[in-house]
Amino acid sequence: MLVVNDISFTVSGKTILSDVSLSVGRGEILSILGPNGAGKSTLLKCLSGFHKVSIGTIYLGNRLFSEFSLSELAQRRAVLSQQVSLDFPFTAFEVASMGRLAKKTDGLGHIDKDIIHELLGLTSMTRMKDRLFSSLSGGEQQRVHLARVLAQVWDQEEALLLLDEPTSALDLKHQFMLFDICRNLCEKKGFSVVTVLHDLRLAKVVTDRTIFLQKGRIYASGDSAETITAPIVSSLYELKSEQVLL
Amino acid sequence: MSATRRAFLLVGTLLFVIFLFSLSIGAISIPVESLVFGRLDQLQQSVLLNIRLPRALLAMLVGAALGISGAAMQGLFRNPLADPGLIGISSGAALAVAISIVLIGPATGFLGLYGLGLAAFVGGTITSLVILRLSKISGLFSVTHMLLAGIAINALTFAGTGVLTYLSDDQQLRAFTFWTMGSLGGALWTQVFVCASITVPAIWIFVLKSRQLNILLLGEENATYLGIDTARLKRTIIMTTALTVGAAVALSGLIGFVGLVVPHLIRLLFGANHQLLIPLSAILGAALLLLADTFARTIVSPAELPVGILTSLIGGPFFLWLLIKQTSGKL
Repeated sequence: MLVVNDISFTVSGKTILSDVSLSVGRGEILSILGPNGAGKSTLLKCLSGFHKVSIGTIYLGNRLFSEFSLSELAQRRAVLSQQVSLDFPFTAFEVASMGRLAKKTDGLGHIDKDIIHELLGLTSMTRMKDRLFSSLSGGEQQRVHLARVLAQVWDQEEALLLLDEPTSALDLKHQFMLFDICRNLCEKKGFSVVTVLHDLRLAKVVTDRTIFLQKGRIYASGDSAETITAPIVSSLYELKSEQVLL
Repeated sequence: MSATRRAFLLVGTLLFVIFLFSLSIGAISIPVESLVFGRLDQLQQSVLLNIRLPRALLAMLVGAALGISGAAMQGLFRNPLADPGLIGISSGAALAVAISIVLIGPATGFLGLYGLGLAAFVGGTITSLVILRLSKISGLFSVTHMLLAGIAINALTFAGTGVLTYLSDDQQLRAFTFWTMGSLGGALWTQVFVCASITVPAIWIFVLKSRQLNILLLGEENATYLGIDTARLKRTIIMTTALTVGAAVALSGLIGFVGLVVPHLIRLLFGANHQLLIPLSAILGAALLLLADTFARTIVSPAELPVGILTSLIGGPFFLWLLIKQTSGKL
């Protein structure tokens, strides 16, 4: 569904990504792993269309990325980015409903409200939906944003979900909750998921395929269970083999 | 009744009550019941139609313009401290107006007023763009840079207006001084029509964009992911703000802090949703400036206090309180 051919990304003379190719099929979960500064988030921003790649092509469902308008893209892919600060007194429900509001010309309809309630339930935020967003904990805020991002593409088929360190503030239970939701969407609606992760063990268990990035290049890629191995991890992260716990 | 309708009803009623109060009070008293039932003698009628009504309408239009553009700027900068007066947009517009007064002479009639409005618009747009650029000078948006840029621009325009004051003769000087203090004293129907023809469409544009402003608060990156053309939205908001602030400044001088106080009160009462915040800021802005102007023209009667002094007197401490509250992380 998403096909990336030899992309490079350069910003003010500095090459951040070079010759990255990957593909994500219908119903697949791909993880992007690698040390700090390897270019994981930048790669995700290229896949989301926020950064225009310098060289190479990205196809989303047989169509060139650059041919999509912003609103067409918004129907096909949703992005959970790393930090979203909000200085204004919005409630959790209002933040989640921003995922539905973008394509509307008027307010929220009944269907939209039902979707948001359903998603706040899925992310176990129903009890806190009327709390002020700024009063929530980091993990709770992350779950509200997850609900918002899912709301954006909830009624689509074969949408692409891009998640940048979605588990960074989540406890163990909610980490698995997140990937249960993703797996469900993959199976029932043919979604594809690309996620940047730091937890290698989690990646090994919950994702289908993995690419390791090192200094903007692909270091290793393949089936998650076969790729996330002690030898690869210890050489990529410069660790002694006994320090690698998988 | 839904919360939205209750909010509109509450703020709308407040505006209506202040409107009646403002029409009735003054050197010649017009009782509210004769206002409502239209039982007025010749003198009262003439005072109402030629003096009080245009002045009240102008106060409401300018107040609405300042309130709504404050709300929009705060959304655009994603910060509740942004205010057209505070960050220098008003004074940029004011300098442009001052220059055109000195070069072309005092404005009269529709053409002159639109000319002043245009000058204010140009001044306002330039300062907005400069501030937007400066507040992102380190790559990421910074409130500190925004406020500092505002201080610099306010200082520059102060210097500019100072030079103009120095150059002007006694009569111009007096007009200048009063105008920079902000006053609605010269309200005639012409001013009302000019202000309405700019402010009303601008309010409409802001209301149309309010949904997108909500989403812009998630940051430009996330707003883009949700399908919003952020560059275009920012351009529209800046231009419309410069237009409304320009109209207000050109017709009434510098009236500070309305754009800061009004959206904040609305947020405290009804939450941050821009679909409510934007229209309600216009209504409450109209109500509060009308109230302030009514006081300004009556407390030291028969003389008159420039309303800008009154709003600054209330707005200054309010801003300090807001600053303390924000840094202590309760906002």
